[in-house]
Amino acid sequence: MARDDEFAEFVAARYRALVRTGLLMTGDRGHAEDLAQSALIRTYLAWGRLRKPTNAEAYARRTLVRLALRARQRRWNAEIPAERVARHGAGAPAGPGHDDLVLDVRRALAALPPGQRAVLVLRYLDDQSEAQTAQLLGISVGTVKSRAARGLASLRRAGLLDREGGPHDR
Amino acid sequence: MTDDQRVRALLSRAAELPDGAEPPVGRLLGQGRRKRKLRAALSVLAVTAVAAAVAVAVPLIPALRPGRAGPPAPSGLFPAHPRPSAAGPAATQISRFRWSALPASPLGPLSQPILAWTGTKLLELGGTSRGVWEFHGAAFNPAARRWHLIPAVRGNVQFQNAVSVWTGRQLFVTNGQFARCPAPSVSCLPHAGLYDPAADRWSLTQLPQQMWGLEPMAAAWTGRDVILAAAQPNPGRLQHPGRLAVAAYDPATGHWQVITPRLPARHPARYLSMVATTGRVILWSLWDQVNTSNHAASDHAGVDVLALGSDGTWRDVTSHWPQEQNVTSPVFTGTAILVSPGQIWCGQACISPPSSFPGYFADPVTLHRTTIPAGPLGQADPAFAWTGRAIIAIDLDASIGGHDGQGPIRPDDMALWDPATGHWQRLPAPPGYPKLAAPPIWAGKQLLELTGNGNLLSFHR
Repeated sequence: MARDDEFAEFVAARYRALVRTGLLMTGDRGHAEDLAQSALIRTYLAWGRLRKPTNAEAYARRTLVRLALRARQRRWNAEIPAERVARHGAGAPAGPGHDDLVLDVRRALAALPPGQRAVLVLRYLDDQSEAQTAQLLGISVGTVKSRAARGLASLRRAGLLDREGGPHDR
Repeated sequence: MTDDQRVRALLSRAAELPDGAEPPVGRLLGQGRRKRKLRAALSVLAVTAVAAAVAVAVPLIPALRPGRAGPPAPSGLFPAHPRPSAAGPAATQISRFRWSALPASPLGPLSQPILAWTGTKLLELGGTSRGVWEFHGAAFNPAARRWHLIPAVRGNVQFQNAVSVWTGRQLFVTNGQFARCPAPSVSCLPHAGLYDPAADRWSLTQLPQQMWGLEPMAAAWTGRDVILAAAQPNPGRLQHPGRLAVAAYDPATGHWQVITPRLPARHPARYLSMVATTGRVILWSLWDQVNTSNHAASDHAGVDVLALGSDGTWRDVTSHWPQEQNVTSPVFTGTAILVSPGQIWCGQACISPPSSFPGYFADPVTLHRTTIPAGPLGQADPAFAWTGRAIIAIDLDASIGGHDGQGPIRPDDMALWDPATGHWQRLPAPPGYPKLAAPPIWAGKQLLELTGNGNLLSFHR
């Protein structure tokens, strides 16, 4: 079946990227995988009208982000235990202070308002333009700019931008 | 290094995944296929609920019996007498229903079989097993608590993504399959099958040529004729004209009459919903139009509403009908058209938002809509089953975490809405939350649920 083959190829190519987006949106690897899979199943259902891989990619990303925002509103306990964050971060490549930095970044993102977090993740992890981010979130470009500026300021206040320019980055 | 570069590097590092996080391609494909088939099967739930309502009333009123007993029928597509609304247990009675196990289906574990209630029997046709579509069927008689196998249908009648409608005497089923074969014959031209439970046999009718190559999307029973609507959903070109064909089939004479309505200019049909009310058939045609200029495309979409009258002519009754909503599983209750919660429609090429719309009642004459408030399953876009006097909402596939003191929602969860009081209440889910093979069927006095492993459950008094 052409549809299933195309979809399987799409999943193989994009699954990890979606989980990465979900991970920063939620701070939880398991939840991120759930979101990515939910978004991909919806993409499968819409496959006939998406037609192009670029449409499918945009659809999957948009669905995942909106599911993440909705899920946050619905979950009765959205707090991410620190040890779970640390455990999920443990699989990442190690380096001096790497786990600490990963943990601190995820904590800092979790502390941001969901809208700011979504803008940062889409702009700086998924490399979406301001216009694309605005379209994905259904907000204006001006709102994207202001949320990005506030989000960056929060990361800077937490000292994370300075740490990224330090020894771990070399 | 700029702040932008630093934050990119930071987020990229924080999102690193360990090796071995392989994409679950097979599982996603399986879930996607199941969900797609469940959506298709929703239309079966809708037509079966109408059939159940008719079946309850038909034995009581000789003039409405199939075969046109009673006064001579008019020459139109509708019977001389309108169908009455069916009675059913009161919501207070349903709230005290309980679950019991009935004998398991002899067909074993299946996904997405066609289920239909005839008034006395549950019919199970086709379904997939390990990705292969089956051709067999079985019938269950709740009074005798017995299953029996039904004969295989011959000819080119397949059950995959089929539409079906109970006519009061036969189950009409077709998927418009056009098989390849060297010369036109019964084995390759598209057919509909009609299964008669009383005679335990199938008969065939060839679809009219205007429907060849189209996908049947909706079927309705007027009391005299099956109205079948077919369209070309995914033509592969954005600006394809999108053919539509509608035909009426009279089971008594075996004759087809093509009655395709004229759609507004530049409104090609993509998806169709249909319901038969008293003396009218309402057809919803979801259309879209893609305009391309300077390498950019814009999608313009909407919904046309057409009414087929008893004189066999169509009228455009779109008026102020919402242009951005699918019409999910419309069911005629006898006094109103009940539509289940569903998804936004914004065109084939449009990336629709994940939001949805609530269920509603529509007046069959004016099409004025009355929204049904979201209940305990509101966020899950549940399927509505009309019981004659109440709505049972069933979550078919959504899992949602709890919040604000409310518990989580999971597939199989059910709720009851009492139109008399306007109140929702939770109903008990089937024990063990089994995976559903198909949407449950309201069978006059009980809700029948076939599970993916072939077990049959009853929610009853």
